[in-house]
Amino acid sequence: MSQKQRRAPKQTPGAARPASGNASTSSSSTVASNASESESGWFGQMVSNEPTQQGVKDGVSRPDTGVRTGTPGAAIDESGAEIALYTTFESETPESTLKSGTAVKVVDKREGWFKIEYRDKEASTSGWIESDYFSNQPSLGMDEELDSKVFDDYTWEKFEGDQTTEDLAANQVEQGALGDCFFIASMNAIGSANPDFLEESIRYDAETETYSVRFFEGEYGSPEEVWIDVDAYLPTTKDGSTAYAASANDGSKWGPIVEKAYAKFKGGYQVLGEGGTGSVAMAELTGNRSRSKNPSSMSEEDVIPYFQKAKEDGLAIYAGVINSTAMASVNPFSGDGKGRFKATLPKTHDWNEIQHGTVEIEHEDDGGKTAFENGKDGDKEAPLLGTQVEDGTVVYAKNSVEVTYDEEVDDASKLQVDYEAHGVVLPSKMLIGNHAYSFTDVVDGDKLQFYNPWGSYQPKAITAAEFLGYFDSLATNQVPKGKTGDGS
Amino acid sequence: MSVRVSTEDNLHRALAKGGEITLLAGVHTGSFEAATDVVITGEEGAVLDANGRGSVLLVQEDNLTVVVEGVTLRGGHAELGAGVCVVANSQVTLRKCRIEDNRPVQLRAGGVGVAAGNVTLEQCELGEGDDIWVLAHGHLSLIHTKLPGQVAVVEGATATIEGSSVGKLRLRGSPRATPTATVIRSGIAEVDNDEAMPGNLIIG
Repeated sequence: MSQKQRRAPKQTPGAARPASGNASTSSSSTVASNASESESGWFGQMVSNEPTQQGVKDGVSRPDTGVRTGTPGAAIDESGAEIALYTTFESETPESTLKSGTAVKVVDKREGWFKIEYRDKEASTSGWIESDYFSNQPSLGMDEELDSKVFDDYTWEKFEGDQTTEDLAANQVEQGALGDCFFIASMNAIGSANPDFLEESIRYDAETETYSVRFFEGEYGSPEEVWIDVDAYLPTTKDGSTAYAASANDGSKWGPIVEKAYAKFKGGYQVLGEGGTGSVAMAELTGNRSRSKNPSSMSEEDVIPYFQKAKEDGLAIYAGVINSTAMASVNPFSGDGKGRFKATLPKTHDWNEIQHGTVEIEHEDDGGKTAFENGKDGDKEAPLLGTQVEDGTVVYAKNSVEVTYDEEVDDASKLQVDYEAHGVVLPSKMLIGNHAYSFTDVVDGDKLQFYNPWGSYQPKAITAAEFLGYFDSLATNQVPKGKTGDGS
Repeated sequence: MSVRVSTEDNLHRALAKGGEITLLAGVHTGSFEAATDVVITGEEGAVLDANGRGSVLLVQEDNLTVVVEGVTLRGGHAELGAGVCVVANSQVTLRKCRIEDNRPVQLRAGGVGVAAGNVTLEQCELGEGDDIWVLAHGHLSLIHTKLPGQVAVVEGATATIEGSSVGKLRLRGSPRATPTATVIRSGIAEVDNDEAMPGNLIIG
């Protein structure tokens, strides 16, 4: 273990000892406003006759830097040495060390010192580091299982040298462990239309070892160019590979760097992980407004000519697949009486799960014994409801259904279960639901080839009818043709 | 021009021409785009249902005035605004409408998505999963509207919430923009103001 030499403690005269406790990632409270009751404070919080501004102060003094509490980043020592960690900023000796590259968040500060929070396995813990070791980096994505930031799974590692390549050929970027298929597919769509434009959008400064990536923002329709600077540190997994995007073909890291710059542009990886819109992302990358078209407004004979013309016109083409598909009705139960009827509903693909809120049961003969569920996305299970239902549950990930009625059932094999499934919505063509793709070309004269931003599980070419049947969004963007990005 | 429409095809044609449209009772299936100034008034029981395919109503042309009154919009599935999606500098008003059972891709905006323009919901009711997202430079006005889910005001967007009930108000800026929400005589069960990129919450 190595660590930097302890520097002289820096203290602000009169500064209080750092407060203990962890900060939450956001401030939550209840608010109500009612002009007639505001003086007494309806619910007692955040109520005023005068307009007030929330969020511009956080109660923490910031004497020395612009870094505010809540700022995400990493504890980094350029030499890779471990970083001294103190229980308080007044401690004379460090109590422990922190691995360089650890993802952290600033939760308190004093002159020259940051109290940082980080995750150690499942526990959130904190300590003080000298502020020089704090590197402002985009916040990481969310761990869906733990509903918290992924602090311990990934570390920030530096990738030396110019990671841009001479030829940013189409479809070089793969999506990683982040739900930003909309952005990766947008990037690939633009790369497919004009890789030169992407190449012009990334600049590397060898002296500072930083990258500048171009985006556009501002009033819709009249955007301004914004260059976002990022350093060469990227979130990596324990095996050293990039955690989020990866470059598919040549091992360079230009894709992850553009993704990092986009995360910084939008406010963090977790912002990207919430999902986004391909039409907006493409506009932010090219400065040109996207056009949306709903596939349901197209006829089958429109489809192939539409894609051929869009390709000829140099448009980036982005498309999204429907959420779920209706399954054939099944009769999975057997027996009779008041017994608890249990079944596992068939899957059309190993990855598929029951779509929330879609399970309905009804007896074929008399239409009775109706049961239904109202599960929402994110629920692991939901109760089955119905006037004749005594008890029942749907467990989504297991595709299992259990139901007990308060009356006897004659021949449970006539209980028909209708449901939808999400996951792979068209297994024969490897199309994934609720997922974004970039269009690459018309093949064999009458089929459409899309590219999966995963970089794997690539779909087979589909017919016009399949496109209309399984895609529910389509957006195009005119990628500037000139290498300088000023000609269109 | 004033027309009464009873079929999806007629509605598509009427929307292309604009003017005043009376939507007859019944379920009209499809994803509809307003491309000219239009006022759609629904008879009791008039429903627009996207049947899980795209936004129910899309506005992507600038300088339009679009009014929808007395219509249920449901069954949308889209990345932004599965129920209503506005991505242009236009004025869109929904009055006495129900927006329900629309499903977003990932986490955003099952109900209404606003990336540009001004969108007003007046005396509307939204379903539990029909959240509203206002982003970029969009502006939202919620007037006497019930939203059990959340309204997220992000990036440089603005929102005015007046006489309404809202389950959750979320504010999150970006590194270069700060959203603002003004709340007037409204009940909001929960406010989530991002710690690192907070928005301005003005209580009037």
